[in-house]
Amino acid sequence: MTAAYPALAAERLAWLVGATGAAAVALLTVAVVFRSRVLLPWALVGLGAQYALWLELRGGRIDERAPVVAAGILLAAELGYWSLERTARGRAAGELAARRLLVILGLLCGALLVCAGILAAGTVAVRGSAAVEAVGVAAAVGVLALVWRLARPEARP
Amino acid sequence: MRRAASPKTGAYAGLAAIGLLAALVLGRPELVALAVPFVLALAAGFALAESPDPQIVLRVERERAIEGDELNVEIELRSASSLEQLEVLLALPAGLSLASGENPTVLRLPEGEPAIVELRLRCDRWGGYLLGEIELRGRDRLGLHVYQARADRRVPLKVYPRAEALRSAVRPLETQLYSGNQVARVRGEGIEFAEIRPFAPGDVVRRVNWRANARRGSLWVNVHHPERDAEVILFLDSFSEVRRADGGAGTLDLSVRAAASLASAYVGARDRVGVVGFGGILRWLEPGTGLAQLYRIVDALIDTEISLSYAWKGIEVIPARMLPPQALVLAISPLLDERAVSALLDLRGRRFDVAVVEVSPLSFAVPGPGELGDLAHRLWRLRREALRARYQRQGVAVVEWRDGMPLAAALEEVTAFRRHARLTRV
Repeated sequence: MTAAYPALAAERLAWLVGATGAAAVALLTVAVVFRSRVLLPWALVGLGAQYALWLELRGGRIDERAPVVAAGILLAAELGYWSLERTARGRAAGELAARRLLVILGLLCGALLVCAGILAAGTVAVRGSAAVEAVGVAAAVGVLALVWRLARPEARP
Repeated sequence: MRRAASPKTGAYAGLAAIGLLAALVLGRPELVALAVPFVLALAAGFALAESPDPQIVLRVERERAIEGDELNVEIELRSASSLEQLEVLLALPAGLSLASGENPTVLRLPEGEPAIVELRLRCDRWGGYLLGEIELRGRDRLGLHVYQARADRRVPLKVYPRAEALRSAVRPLETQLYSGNQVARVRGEGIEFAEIRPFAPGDVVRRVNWRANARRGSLWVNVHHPERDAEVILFLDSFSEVRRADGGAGTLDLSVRAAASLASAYVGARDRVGVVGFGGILRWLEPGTGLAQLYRIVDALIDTEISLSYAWKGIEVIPARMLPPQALVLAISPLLDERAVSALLDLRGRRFDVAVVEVSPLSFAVPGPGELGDLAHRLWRLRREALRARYQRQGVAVVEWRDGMPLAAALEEVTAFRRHARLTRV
């Protein structure tokens, strides 16, 4: 659904948007079938790239459905990583699956709310202002710092 | 437990970073919205991360079992902090298998409450085991952290070979001095009638055979065979074995089962039994009798293993007290190693009473491919037959015992051979 939405909504270069989405979905399928932890993030990047491409082709208007797309990509990521895990066996397997579904549902609801809030803030803020740029840069740097911390072997207690 | 970020954590951080950078470059707030759920998941994961340290208790139903038995194993886990998903794996040594239950099994470990994993294990093969290497692998609620630990709660478990009930075992040619269940060849105080002889001063009246008196007109008394014990040395050849490619039972397994059955039968008949493990490592257990000796023998047997050695070993390496005179040496061997074959012939040459139960390797060895393989197999079988004939010429009973054949039947063949070969004994 996340890949279909930009492909169906594209007004220009729909074939390119569709092809990007199809490639991302194919990659996701391959990752799940072959249980590849390496391919799965790239498939998600592909889905995001398709959406970004569609946004660029679409122009300046803000897409109100972005939170849904974000939740869709998160759902694909969660289910994808779940499918990569070994099948849980035991008496508690059913209960654990139900609890995990609830956690994913809660995460999706939280993501929808936060994304809607950010999008609302984005529409209010003056685009291209120095303040917004600074916040964006700080956020990006913060996430990169987090990646670097996680990548360090000594960061894993 | 050792905590580490899962691959998912790195992927989510990377996706969030890419999304935010793309938002900056392209100036699109929608892309920030794409990145934010991943940041949110990461933040929640780090906030909820815990450091569980489960306490593990392993309970095994009993420390001793017999081949084929099933026993319950319980793993109790308790942790001060909860763990959403914990996978528990009990490492099973070869020879033990899972009869029921899930291994590995997954469970949720609530805070302060015990979680119990129940497994039922089947003892497939005799041996001494250390059971209790437990692997734990857990994850948090969002799967962003994985926890790993290995616990060593090993407890000893002895699985004894299943002994075949034998009504009678091979009787030794000679008996010892103490009373037992074997009818001695000599005359003396006993129950088994031997012959009659003329009365001599000192004979007790209750020995008088009145029917013989009436016929012969003089006093005749009954003479009996006394019941004595015997000494039996179980000679277990552990130089080599043949085993199926699928890892199933091999000749050593059969040998140990046969030795356990024989030890049980002889100890039951109040004989003195010793064991010599003749192989890469020489092991022995001095002859003794009684239930304690049987346990000692079985304990010694389950430690038997094939130890590769190229050193030549003859019977001179066996302590002299392990080979008492007039003892029956009952060898259990696949007759594959020249050292064991020669040692048995050497024993016979030294006038020991030797009998061989040949644990047949034929059912474990399949002919090689093609005509040549078939020919080689036939030649090998012929050589084995020649070897058996060589033993028999020396007055040694050799019987081929195959997998699935009752041991009692093989022993009956030994007894039959010895009954007829006794006259030709050197």
